[in-house]
Amino acid sequence: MNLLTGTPAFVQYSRGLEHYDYGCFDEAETELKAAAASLAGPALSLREEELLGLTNAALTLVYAAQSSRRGEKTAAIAQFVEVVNTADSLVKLRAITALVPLLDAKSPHWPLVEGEIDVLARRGYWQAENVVLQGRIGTGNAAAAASHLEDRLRQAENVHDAFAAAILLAHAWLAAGRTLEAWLLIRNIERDAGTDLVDIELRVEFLRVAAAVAGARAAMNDADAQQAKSVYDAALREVQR
Amino acid sequence: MRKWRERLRSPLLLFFGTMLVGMSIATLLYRCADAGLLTKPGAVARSYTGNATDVQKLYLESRNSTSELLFKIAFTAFGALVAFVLSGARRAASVERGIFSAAGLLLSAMYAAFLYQIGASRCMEASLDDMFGPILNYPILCQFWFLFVAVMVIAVALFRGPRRAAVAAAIIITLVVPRVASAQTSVGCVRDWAKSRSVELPSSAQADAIALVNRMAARQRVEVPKGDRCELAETLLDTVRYSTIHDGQPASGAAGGAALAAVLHTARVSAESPNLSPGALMTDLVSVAEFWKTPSGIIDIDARKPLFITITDRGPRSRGTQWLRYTRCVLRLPPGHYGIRAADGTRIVYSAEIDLARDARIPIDVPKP
Repeated sequence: MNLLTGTPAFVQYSRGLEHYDYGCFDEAETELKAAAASLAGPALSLREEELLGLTNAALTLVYAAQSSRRGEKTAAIAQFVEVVNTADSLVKLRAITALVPLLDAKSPHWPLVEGEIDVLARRGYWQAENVVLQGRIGTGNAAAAASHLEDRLRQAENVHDAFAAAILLAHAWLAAGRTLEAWLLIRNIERDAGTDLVDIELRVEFLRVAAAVAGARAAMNDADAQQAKSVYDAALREVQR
Repeated sequence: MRKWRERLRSPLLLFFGTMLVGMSIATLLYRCADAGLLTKPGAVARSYTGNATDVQKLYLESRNSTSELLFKIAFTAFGALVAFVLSGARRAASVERGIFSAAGLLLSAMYAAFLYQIGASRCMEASLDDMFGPILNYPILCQFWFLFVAVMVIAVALFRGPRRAAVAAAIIITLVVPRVASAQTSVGCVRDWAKSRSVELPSSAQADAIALVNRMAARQRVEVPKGDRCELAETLLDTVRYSTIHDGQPASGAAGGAALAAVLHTARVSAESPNLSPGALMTDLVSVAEFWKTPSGIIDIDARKPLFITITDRGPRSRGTQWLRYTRCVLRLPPGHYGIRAADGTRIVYSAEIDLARDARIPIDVPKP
């Protein structure tokens, strides 16, 4: 067990990230500032120094998100890049996934982002894999992405890993035009997701992909998919409310 | 005066002289070892149940067989010398003196074997942890060196001429030394490791560290050459140190040593249990030990202050496997392409890509941020 877990600073830091995930940036800023204040002291242990570094990186992440919300794209990109340049962490992962949609095709930050995403994706962070997948779909390489994810699903090491690979594979199959396979896979995931899929973010991603796949099948007059799509859309609206 | 000189060089006097000097040296070393035991009399480093652990049994077995082998060689050589002296053949005075001096040394070697037996009994009575200390090592060292010198003296006396003597000595050394050379991690390895990490490790923790390293090596069937034993210890102990610091404990000094001692003891108990506990630390230790069974290279990273190190496998087929440590750290990894980053807090202060070749050693000194 990490002995920093449960300390006031760690609790505030975790709450700050949670607020960020739900888009409550002002609350996130308050919690993170409190965490940084708790850690202010002359003799910090190595781990406390790291937690302070993570807290400051998370604060920059929140400022970047606030800038992005205000429409200050350049400022937001600069702040996200600052976080991407820190040591590997979940804060950095959030910065990368938030940064990618802001970058245009000619952005000078792509080499940095791609290098970081590659490592995170290889390490099984599904959010990073999702960014890589979007990039491949965008460049017309959906079939290659699907082939990679099939391998990834075969090598999944635990239930969460398998769910993540399966959801991304369904998305890749959909983009590659293999809608029936994507639909069968979604139905298969759906059977176990209710009880076994515990990652909230991944559940939301599942609903998003499932709604898209069901929409594509519904357009092909699949009655079952038409009915499922309305359920997925309603569920998605619920979680995003 | 000349008469006295002749008397001093008499074979019988040389025999008694070498024997007395040898026995005195062995006794003195044994007394020193006994006085500097890891567990002081009356102070129990850890609860003593009298039950030997797997690693202690393995260690004692290995030491016993070494002492027994040296005793047998010395005894046989002594018997051969007695037969040679009683054969009645005429010999030069120098040969006679060489044989009697060697006989004195061989008896000293046999006496050292007796001291080893007393030392083993002492460990059984007091604390089994002490068997890893000098109380068993010194007598065996005495056995070996008395035997070695005796063999050299015999070789020089019997095979006159430097070339013939050297050939005879080389043959004997080739036959004896490899069997005697022990491949156990020593207290010196652990002390050097702790010193280079600025950790003040208590002596009880040193015994735990040695036992942990030897047990992991035995359990994973790692055959490490004697010259690499300290590197095996470094790679395993750095893994334990990372786990301790990651838990929020101090990285150096007496406080760091005390925190490390507690984790080392737990790790040792886990390593010695019949079923390896599936904790994260034990899983890491097993994977580190596994690299000693395959062709690999060494990465040695040092810095002015403890920095957080991330080593990422960047090979084309890798799944981005990462190893996390705090400087100073030594890692043994398979040949490949690796990304190395050092962070102070979360600020990256060093970043480099390296190609590690088989049997290579890459030292990295992270400059002051």
